[in-house]
Amino acid sequence: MATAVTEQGQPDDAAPSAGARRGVLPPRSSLLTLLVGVAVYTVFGLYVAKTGNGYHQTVLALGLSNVVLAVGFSIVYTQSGQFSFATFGFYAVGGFAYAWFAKHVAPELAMVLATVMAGFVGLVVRLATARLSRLYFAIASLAVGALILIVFNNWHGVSGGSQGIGPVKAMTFGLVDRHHHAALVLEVAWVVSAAAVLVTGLLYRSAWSRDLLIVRDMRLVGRNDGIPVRRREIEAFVVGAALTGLAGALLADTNVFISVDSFGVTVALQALIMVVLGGGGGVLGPIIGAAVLTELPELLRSAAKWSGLVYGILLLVVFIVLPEGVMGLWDKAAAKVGLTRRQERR
Amino acid sequence: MTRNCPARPDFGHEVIGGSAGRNVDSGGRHEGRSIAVSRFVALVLAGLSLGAVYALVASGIVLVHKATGAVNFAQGDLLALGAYVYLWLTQHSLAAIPACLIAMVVLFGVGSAIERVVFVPLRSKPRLTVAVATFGIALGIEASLTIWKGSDPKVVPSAFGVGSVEFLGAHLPVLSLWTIAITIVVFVLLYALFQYTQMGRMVRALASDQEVAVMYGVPSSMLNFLTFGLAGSLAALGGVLFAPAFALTPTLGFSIVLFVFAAVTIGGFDRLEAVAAAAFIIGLAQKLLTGYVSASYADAYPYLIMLAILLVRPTGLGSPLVEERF
Repeated sequence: MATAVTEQGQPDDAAPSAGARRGVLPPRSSLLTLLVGVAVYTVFGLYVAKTGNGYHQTVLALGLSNVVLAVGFSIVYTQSGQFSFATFGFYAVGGFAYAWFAKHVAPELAMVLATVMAGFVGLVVRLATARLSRLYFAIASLAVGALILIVFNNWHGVSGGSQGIGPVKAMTFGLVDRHHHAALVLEVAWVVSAAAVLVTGLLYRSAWSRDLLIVRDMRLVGRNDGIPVRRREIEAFVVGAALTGLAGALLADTNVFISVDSFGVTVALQALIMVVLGGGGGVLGPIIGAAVLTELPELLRSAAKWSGLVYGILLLVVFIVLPEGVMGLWDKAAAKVGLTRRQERR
Repeated sequence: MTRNCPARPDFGHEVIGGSAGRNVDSGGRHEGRSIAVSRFVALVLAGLSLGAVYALVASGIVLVHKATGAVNFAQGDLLALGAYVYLWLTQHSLAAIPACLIAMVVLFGVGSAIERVVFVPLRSKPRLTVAVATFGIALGIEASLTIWKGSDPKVVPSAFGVGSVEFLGAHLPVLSLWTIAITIVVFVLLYALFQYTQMGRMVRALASDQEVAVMYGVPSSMLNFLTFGLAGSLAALGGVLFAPAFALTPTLGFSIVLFVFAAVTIGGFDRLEAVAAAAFIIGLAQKLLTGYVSASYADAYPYLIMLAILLVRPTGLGSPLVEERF
């Protein structure tokens, strides 16, 4: 498949991440690397959760919510080439659905239901907008996200209106609620995010994810080869929306109180920066991006009002100077010393 | 109205009759009708002037899209920036009209700077990437405004008169009338520019086929620079007209740009007249629906209109000039 596609010549120019990756299907990273990576990630996380103070643990737990958000956004944006502003809407759906379901059923089940709910809303939205071109879809998604927020703003029973809602019940997974609430939340969040990363990592190794690259770069070729282009787009979008909902559930779990103000359009910008900064093609890039974007507000804490400007400038700099993200930089460096991770181009 | 009230077109007569006092019930109803009329007129005017501002911002987006193919999400924030520059100038004891003109010049500079710094390096990238990058500019401008002036709402003096004119019992703000008039003039000028000048013809050539136009010697780089700048100036004008009617906050721009995109999407990205019509319709619909149906979903109406239209016609109501590049 890989060679067949590269022989088709240059793809058209509409790929979101142009450059070295364009039109070249990356070889599958080994399953062993992925499993070991996720295992290390989990063990490291559980170790960190044991140490550190409450504040730091809360920040880390928010970071894990960001990891899930970025991993989901990466499938939609870098892998399948759709840009969706509605991310902040699904984030809100996940958060509020979790808060509401946690009141009625076990919080663990509530997390699953919140994920499913966000995925379902994503499915409805993408089915309805399936005929739109990518640019029009991006604009329509902005309207969708804004509409979701307007609905929550007026739906006091679920969102609590402007006061917000809380305290949201936390997930315990049967663990004893120790006096360190933050540590427990962090442990749970770490395991959940590890599971999300593992699932996404496995997805990245699948034929489905390579189909998405074709959908992104060579729609006509893909259609000719029998890839159901629109269907793949919708599927990728639903997976992304569900992961975004999971991220929202983790946010509600960590923050205890959530309100509509927690879900602005900046969420979409942050998800975008994480993904573009990290680079696509796998789960490592989004994780790096999420780590950077979680630490950034901590570094800027003394100058919090500058953070919006820093985000904007960071996005532009990454777009212009580093279009392949940190992972692209790594690939280039590796190629220089002869450690090529990827196949020869053409 | 009600069944036993005969439908008569001449409202003036009825109002006089009502005040002459036949019976209390009928008089109250007639007064109610005159209030309804003046309320309707006031809502229509408010809607039209809102639509006029949308149209001004939308014209900048269409202009840039025609010349460069880029979609500029920062246009609304340029409006807010223009309003802030205008406010700053008037606070430094400058008269309103010169302040407006200087704000337009400053925003010309900002717009063209965006072209040089952000658009030029990304020119070979797909349209979606450029659009996403301008989203970054938008939030950057918004954040800069917060740093500069804080996020508290500011009161902006009107450049085009205060007070109101009475018409059919409704008090119509002079500024709204000026807003509509200026927008119409701007659109006539833009139309003339595109239709009758060499520069306009070159921009239209770029819009219909960039490669061939450049091959025939159209200076695309210079035109990109100019159109981005002109779009900035139009945004500043929109800001000067719009901000006095509302409290000016840094988020004003982004909240508007969503509605403007609704208009641009409905009208199609390349057709100035259709976009202007869509902008007026959206402003009008927003005000009328807010006034007569429900205010708590006021912001939802433009999106619902836009989504409804996109579901039926995925390329908007305007005919698509360019075949969609996947």
